[in-house]
Amino acid sequence: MRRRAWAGAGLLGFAIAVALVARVWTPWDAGAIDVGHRLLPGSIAHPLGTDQLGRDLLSMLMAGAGPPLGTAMLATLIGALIGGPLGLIAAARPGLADDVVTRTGDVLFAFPALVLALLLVAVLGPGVLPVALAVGLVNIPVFVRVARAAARAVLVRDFVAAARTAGLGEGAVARAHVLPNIASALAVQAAIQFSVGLLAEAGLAFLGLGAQPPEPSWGRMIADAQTLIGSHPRLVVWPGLCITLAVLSANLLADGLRRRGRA
Amino acid sequence: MSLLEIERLSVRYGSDTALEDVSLRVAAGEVVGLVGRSGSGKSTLAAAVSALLPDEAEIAGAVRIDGRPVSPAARGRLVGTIFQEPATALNPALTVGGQVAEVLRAGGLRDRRRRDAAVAALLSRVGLAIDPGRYPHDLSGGQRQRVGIAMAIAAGSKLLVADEPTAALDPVARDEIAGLLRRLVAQERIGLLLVSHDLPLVAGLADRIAVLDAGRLVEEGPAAGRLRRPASATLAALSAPAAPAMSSAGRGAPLLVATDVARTFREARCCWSRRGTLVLDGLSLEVASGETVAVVGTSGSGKTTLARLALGLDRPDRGAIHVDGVRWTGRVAADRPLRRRVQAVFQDPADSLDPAMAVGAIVAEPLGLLSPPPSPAARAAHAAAALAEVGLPADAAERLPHAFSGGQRQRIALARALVLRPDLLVLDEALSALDPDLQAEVAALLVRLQAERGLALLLITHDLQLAGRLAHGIAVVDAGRIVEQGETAALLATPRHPVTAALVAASPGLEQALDRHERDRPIT
Repeated sequence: MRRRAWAGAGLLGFAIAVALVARVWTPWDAGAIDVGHRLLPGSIAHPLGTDQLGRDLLSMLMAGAGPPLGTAMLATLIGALIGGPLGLIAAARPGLADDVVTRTGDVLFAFPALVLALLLVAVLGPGVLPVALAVGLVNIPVFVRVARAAARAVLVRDFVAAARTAGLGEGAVARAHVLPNIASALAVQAAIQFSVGLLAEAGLAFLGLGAQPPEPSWGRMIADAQTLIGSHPRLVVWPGLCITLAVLSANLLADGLRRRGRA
Repeated sequence: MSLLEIERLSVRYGSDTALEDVSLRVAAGEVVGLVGRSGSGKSTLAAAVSALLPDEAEIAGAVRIDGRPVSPAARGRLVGTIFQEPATALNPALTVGGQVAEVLRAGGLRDRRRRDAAVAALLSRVGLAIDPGRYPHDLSGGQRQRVGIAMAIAAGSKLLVADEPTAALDPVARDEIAGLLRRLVAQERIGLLLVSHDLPLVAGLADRIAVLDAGRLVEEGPAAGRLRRPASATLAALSAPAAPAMSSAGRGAPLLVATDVARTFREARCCWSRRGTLVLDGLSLEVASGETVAVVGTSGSGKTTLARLALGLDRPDRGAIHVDGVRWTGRVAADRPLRRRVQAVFQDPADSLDPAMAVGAIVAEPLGLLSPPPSPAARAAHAAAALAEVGLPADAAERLPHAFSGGQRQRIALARALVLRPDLLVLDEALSALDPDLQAEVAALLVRLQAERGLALLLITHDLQLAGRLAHGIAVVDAGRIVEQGETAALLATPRHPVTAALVAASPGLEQALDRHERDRPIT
C-alpha cells in the first residue's frame, strides 16, 4: 500500500508548502479589514470571496494553515523526542525507573487529552506556542507507551544478547539495535499524533485559545463565521474542508506506513 | 483406496516454485515420514494437506482425503494438524479443556455436559491426567503438545499431519510424544504424515519415507530400507552426514571455571511479594582450552541460564564464574577485555541477527572490542575473512539477514562469534536447528578451529547424539545441579544417574531407532 503513504505525504507536503509560502506571500493581506467589500462572492480578484470583515478568504485559508500544521508538528516532535527516550529507558530498566515513567504516563492518560490541554492553556495563556506545548505534553505518554512496548520486544531478542557479548553498553545497544527496529512503529505513531495534533489545535482555536487575532487559523475561522453558516456556508465549509483534508492525509500516511511496516 | 491421496501437486508463489509435481499416498494405520532439507517444501506440503496454504499460493493438482478434496471447511473433520510449537499453537487465554471443547463445538457438539465428557475422554486418550481447567502456561512442553494432539484428533479425523511435532521438545518429552503417536496410529488406525528433519524420530515411527529436495519428490519407499540404503544423494547426505572426528588438540589449562554457582529468578507479583525460582543450585563446571564440554539436560534444567552466566550476560547470586582466572564484573567497560575472549552462538539465527542491520555490520560488531578499534576498511576486511571462513560468498556482507536461509544465517552468527578469534565459544543449541549435513559441516569447522587454535567449546544442547560426536566430556544437568559428569564415551555407554539413563534411552541414533522400531513392530 505504497500509494496510500505517498498520497498522504503528498497532500501533507502541499499543505506545509502552502503554509510556508503564506508566511511571505498571500494574494491579499490576510488580516486587512475592508468592510466595504464584506461578504463578496467568489470573483477573479477574490477566488473564494471575502468574509464578514472583507478579508480575502483564500489568503486567510493559506495563512490559517500555519497554526494547525505548526502546532501538530511541534507537538509531535515534543512527544517523540521526550516520550521516545523515556520509553526506551523504561524498557531497559525494569523496576523503579520503569514504574515511575509508566505510572506517570498512566496518570496523564487518565485525563481526556483535550481537557488536559485546556487546563495547560488556562495556565500558560492562549497562543500558538502554549497550545503546541499542551498538545505535546499529551503526546509524551503516547510515545512512551509505544516506544516501551516495542523496545521491550526487541530487548529480549538474542541479537541484543549478542551485542552485549560484543561489548556494547546500554546506550550503544539502544542506538545500534533498538532504535532501528522500533523506528517504523514510532513513525506510524508520529503520523497518528500529527493528525491528533491538527484536530486538537482546531478545537482549541475554535474555543479562542489558539492563534490570537489578527493571525488567522482554520479553527477560529469556523468559530468567527458560525453565525453566518445559514447565509454564507462557504465561510465555514472551506476551513472545515481544509482541516478534514489535512487530518485525512496524516491518517493516510500513518496507514500506509503501518502497512509497509508489516510487509 | 488410500486415506490420503496427493496427486501431481504443485504449489507456486509468483515465480517461486515451492512444490513441483508431487504425488504421495498415506494409508490408514500408516506413518509416512516426509524428510528433506529446510526450504525443500516439506512444510508447504503439510500445509497443503491441512488446507492451510496462504491465499496467494497457486495450487495445481489434487489433495484428497477419503476420496474427498480437502478444503478449509473440511479441516478438522478430515484432517487434524499438529503444530511444531505447542507454546504458540495453544491460546494462552483458554483452559486446556476449553481449547479441546472449542474444536468439539465447531464440530457440532452443542450439549455442554456431553462435551465435557468428550473432553475428558480425549485428554485420557492422549495420556494427560490433568485437570482440564488448567491453562497452557503451567504445563510442560510435552504436556502442551499432548493437548495439541487431543485437539487434532478431537473432530474425529482419521488423518493427522504433524509438522516437526517434537522439534521444540527435549529428548525425554520427544520420546513420549513419539510413543503417543505410535499408539494412536496402531490402536485407532489413524494415518500420519510426519514432517521432520529429525531422522531418528522418523526412523522410529515411519513405515514409509518420502524425500523432498527443492520441491520435488526424489525418493520414496519403506523407511528402514531407504534409510539404510539411500538411493538419492539428498537422503544419503541427510542420513549419513560425514561425521567430524573429535578434535585431539589436547586438554590445556582450565579456561572457564564455574564454582558453586546459584541463580534464582525473582518474579514480581502482586503487592510487592516476590517468589523466587531456583534455576541453578550450586553448579560447578570446568572447560579447559582445546576441550569441548557438552551440558545436556531436559528443558528447564538450567542449561540456558548457565550459558548466560558463562557469557557474563547475567550474574550468579552465589558462587563465581571465572574465565582464565578473571571474573565477570557486570560492568560494560570492565568486562570488555574478557568479552574479546568469549563469544557465543545462539539457538535461533532468526532471533540472533538484527533484521535491520547488514550482514557485514553484524559480523564486524564484536571488532569494537579491539583496542585501538580498527578502521572501517579493516573492519570490512575482518568481516569478509570471517564470512569466507564459514563458507559464505563475499557479497553477503551488504545484504540483510532475511536474504539468507536458516542454515546460512546460523553461519553468519558463527562468523560473528569467530571474528575476534575467541578462546571460548558458547554454543546454546546453536546446531540443533541445522539440517544434518549442514550441522556436520559446521561441526567440522569447529573441530578444525579447536585443533588449530585450542578453541574451547561449551556446547549447551539437548541433542545427545551431537554431544556424543563432538564433546570430550559431558555434564548432565537436572534441576540446576550437575547430576553426572564424565568422559563422553563412558558416560553414554554406562549412564549411572537415572536422568542420564532417561536422556540416553530417549536419544537413539538412526541405526538404533530403526532397530528399535523393527523390534517393537514386527513385520506383519
